[in-house]
Amino acid sequence: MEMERRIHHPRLSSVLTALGAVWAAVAAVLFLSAHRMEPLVVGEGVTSIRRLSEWHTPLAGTPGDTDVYVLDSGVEGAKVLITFGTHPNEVASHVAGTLMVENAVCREGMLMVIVHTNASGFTHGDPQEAYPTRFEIERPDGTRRWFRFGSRYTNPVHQWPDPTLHINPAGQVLAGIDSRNLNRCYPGRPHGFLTEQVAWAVCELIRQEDVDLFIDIHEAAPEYPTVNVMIAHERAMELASEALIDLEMGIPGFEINLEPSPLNLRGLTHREVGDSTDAMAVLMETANPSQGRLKGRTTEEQVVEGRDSAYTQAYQHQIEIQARGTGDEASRRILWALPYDSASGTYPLRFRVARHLAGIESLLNALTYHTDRGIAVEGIPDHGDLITQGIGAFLAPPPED
Amino acid sequence: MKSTWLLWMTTICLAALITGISAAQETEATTETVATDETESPPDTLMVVIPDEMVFAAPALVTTVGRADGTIVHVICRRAGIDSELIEEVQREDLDGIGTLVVAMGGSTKGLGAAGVDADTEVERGEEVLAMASVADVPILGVHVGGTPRRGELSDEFCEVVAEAADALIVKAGGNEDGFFTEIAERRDIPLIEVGTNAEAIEALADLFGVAEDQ
Ligand SMILES: [Zn+2]
Repeated sequence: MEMERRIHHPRLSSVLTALGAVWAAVAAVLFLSAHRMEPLVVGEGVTSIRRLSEWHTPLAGTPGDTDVYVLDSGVEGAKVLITFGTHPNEVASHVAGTLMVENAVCREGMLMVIVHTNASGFTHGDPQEAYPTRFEIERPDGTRRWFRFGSRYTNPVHQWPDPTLHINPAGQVLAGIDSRNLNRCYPGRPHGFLTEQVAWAVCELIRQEDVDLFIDIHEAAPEYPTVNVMIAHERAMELASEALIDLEMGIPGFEINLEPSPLNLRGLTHREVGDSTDAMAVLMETANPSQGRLKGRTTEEQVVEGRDSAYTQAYQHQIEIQARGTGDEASRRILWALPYDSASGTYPLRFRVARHLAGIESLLNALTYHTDRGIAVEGIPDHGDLITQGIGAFLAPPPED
Repeated sequence: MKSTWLLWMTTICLAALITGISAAQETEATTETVATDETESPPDTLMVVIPDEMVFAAPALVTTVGRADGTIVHVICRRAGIDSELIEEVQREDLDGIGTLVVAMGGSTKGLGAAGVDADTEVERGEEVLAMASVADVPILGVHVGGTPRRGELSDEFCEVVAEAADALIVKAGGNEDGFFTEIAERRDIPLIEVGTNAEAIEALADLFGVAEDQ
């Protein structure tokens, strides 16, 4: 009987089947499109593009491999590696990296830049966060460049399953998901998980190329205590202090703090790169409302303009509490981290990118006068210009598809 | 067979789509944005006149109570042209031949973690070092350059221990908005130099140590 009834509706069955096929096709196209990398226009300062797998061959052909942009002045000097996009949801990082590759020119020493350090993390988003997969930045001529909004973690399609607990290469026991968190996998393992191999490759690059200074660029939730900071390995504390004093002296109103890399927080670049290579290691953080737990819907406006009604309200609230003199430590922290643009209560991306680039430039300058190995890099967009003119003014025209 | 499979796919895709849509609508905040007109300008710098006899001598020994900003204060001293050395854990013999003990005030959880000590132990250690300095007749200069993030529950305990023992204080204005240091300085009748920037902190240190302008 059942069978007969079904046979009576062959048309409905065909329609549903066709509909299913269409949905499956659309979903497949959408998912696969996430694997397309954001465009990057290689600037005149880039002298060669290498692959990370050159320093750890098993990485070749895997989703963990990524471009290493080399800006070699040809003049003897210091070597610096900067990693952006360790966490692809910390967008100020890879946008700042893009600006470096498109604008910087090295006149002394050698600069190496990795824009998409966890390349796999750029191919998906964090579950349940409803992140957009991309966002756009407008250039002065009205053309637009698009960027990825990725995940904090390596794509599980590329590294699966997660262990119940992750005993990272430094020996610390973490949640299983942290086996896909690049900044918990340092100093890496040559035969470990994909993410650990990426970390290993970065450390191998630093060791084999005799990198003097390593900088890792991040963002964090505004309510997190460690924002607007440099975190430095003990061998980099003096350098970072010099850079920090210069920054605050050079840019009126610029405030940034310096924290030492804790000995008991393992698997992070500022600790492990400092311990397992000869490079000085510094990490920088800005505040990103898209990452915070107070945030509303992650729209393109929230990502680019840093405007989030919940954070703006939290900020106003803290000002009132502070004015009444009843503020506690937590509210002071929120005030500290809160808006770069205090007039509008927002954290525009251009402010965060400007902070990172100013921090990088200051560290490079400090390296030059603090050590006997110098590096001279020109063309890094100026802090004030970025804030007034916007990021688009320093991006190359969008490449043809 | 094939159509059963496709029907399953339809169901899964629809479910995924519905989940996606509901997730996207999940957490739109209902609150309205309240824009403020007030723009924050850096606080006005307040310079306190230091008595002429108040001159701190080099060499300076730089240390911290709270394990924060020691390196920064050391670099600031060096830039002020003051012969100085940074020692995180000061022993009695370190004070021999020292002209001034410069103490960076404020707490850092990361710094305490790096040193492997808790806040109480650090307060005790700090009190001992300050007592050693006063027994040895070494003047104490408290310096706070960390602003707001170096205030609050953790930091204040360290700041208080140092400010209560110091002969003078240099404090960045951002860290004294509630008058915390002003209150202690007035009560103890010690000079408080409030500075707006690191550049002014360098200047103030050079003044206090009587370092020539051109240095
Ligand atoms: Zn991060």
